[in-house]
Amino acid sequence: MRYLSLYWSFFAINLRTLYQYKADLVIGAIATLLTQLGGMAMLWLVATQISDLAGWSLRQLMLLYGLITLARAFDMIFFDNLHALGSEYVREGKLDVLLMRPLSPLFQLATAHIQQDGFGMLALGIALTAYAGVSLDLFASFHSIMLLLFFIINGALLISAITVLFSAAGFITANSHIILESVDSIADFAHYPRPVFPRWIGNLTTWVLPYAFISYYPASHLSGSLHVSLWLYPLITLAAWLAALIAWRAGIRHYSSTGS
Amino acid sequence: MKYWAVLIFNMRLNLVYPLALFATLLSTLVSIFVAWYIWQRVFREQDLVAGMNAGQMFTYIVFSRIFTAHHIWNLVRLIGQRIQSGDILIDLLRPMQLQTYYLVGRAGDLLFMTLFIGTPTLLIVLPLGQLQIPHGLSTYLLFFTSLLLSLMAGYILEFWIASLAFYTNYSWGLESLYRALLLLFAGGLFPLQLLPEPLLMISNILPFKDILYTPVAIFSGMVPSNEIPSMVTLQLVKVLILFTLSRFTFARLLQNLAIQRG
Repeated sequence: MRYLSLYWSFFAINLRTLYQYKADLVIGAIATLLTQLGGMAMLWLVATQISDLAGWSLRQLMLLYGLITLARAFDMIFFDNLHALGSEYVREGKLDVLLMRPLSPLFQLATAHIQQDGFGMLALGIALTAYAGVSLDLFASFHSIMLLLFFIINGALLISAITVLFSAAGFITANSHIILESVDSIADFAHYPRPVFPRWIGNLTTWVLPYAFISYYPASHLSGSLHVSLWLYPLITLAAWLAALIAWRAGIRHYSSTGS
Repeated sequence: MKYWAVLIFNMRLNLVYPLALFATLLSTLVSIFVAWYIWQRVFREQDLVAGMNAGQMFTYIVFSRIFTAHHIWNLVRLIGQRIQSGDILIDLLRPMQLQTYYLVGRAGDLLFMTLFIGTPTLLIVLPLGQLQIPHGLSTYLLFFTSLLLSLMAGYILEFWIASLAFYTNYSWGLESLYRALLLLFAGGLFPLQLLPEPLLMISNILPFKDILYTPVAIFSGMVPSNEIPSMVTLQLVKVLILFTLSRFTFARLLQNLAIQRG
């Protein structure tokens, strides 16, 4: 409860900081929306050329795209500052300050900054998921609404776990943000159905970096084409968080300050 | 000589971060393969998309992704950060013209990118046998002229957008704006002829098309060979106009400049 209340205080401070640069904030919000619409336009262009993409209709593709966009937006808004662990906090010794305070260093790091790009993504993610949800009748029953919410929340938690896990590389290298960017780039495969890509890419995004459990499998489940046991989703998320927290704990235990 | 030193320094600076190089190469390759696997599905059902065959589309995807990585000079972020810290003052006091100083530095980055991103990417995709290479020396000459002009146009436009940070005092939004314009109106995501008519008209009016689309379309064989010389000439005229405007606006900006320094 204490962390929740602190979180909102930090969040409000971060928002006020962003608001200091109003013109840039407005320009950036428009630009982010344009970028996201560009990605969506690519999907639309392909869908208008052919009847379906690997058996997926445009509405199903929009649902899939919406789910991964929502998860990435959540990750960007709440955990983006983890990219700076190696380059800023470990190298410059700023992590020492976080370790001195009576709060989790991971929590402090995550709340020190919010990434504005996330808001444009969030808007597009909500719009796409809502539109696809209406078209696919996902809001027709309480059960399907709950299922959709379950997949959204699980996806957000899973993608954050992946970010936290790889951010721990910051304890070893100052260039951990680059490792995170590489991992993020793999998530681009999750914007489209798994069968579009060769089997090895599908296996990579299912079992190594499980992005398929954020977009492909939930969208398949919701549109009734493929059912994976529901218990598998939280299990994978839990395993990912466990690995992430172990990596972070190991990182903190072996951390030695630069002294700068 | 002093400009040469700046160029070499920037190339060496990039070598300090080999991991960054790997990440850029990986994201460029992922971006190529995501787009290619999707378009491949389309070409299974039809031979042509907006007049392009599969080989032309693949060539367009590969070169547009490589050039997008090359074209993002990170100038907006660099200038924005230096404005925020006040260090832009040091750059303005250097015995070199600011625009030329940054241009030479970015040229060092570009050479580095060509050697370590562009070349390996081409070596990786070449064995797939899908690249459509143009024929004839004149096409190559015109392509390289167009490429050089596109780099100039890209630099001028990015510098122009970056200099808006003198007014906004922050560069995140401007940087995102430049990237978005590059993706949508320069052809970074898909060939411009696929855009709906109103957006195509806008992209034809805006100067961003010449940053990326024009040279890539020439190389991919999308432009009939008799139209290439006039296309490149028009590109040259646009670059000259952009250059003149850029010099004028930057001179005006310097007259009313206030720099924060903490």
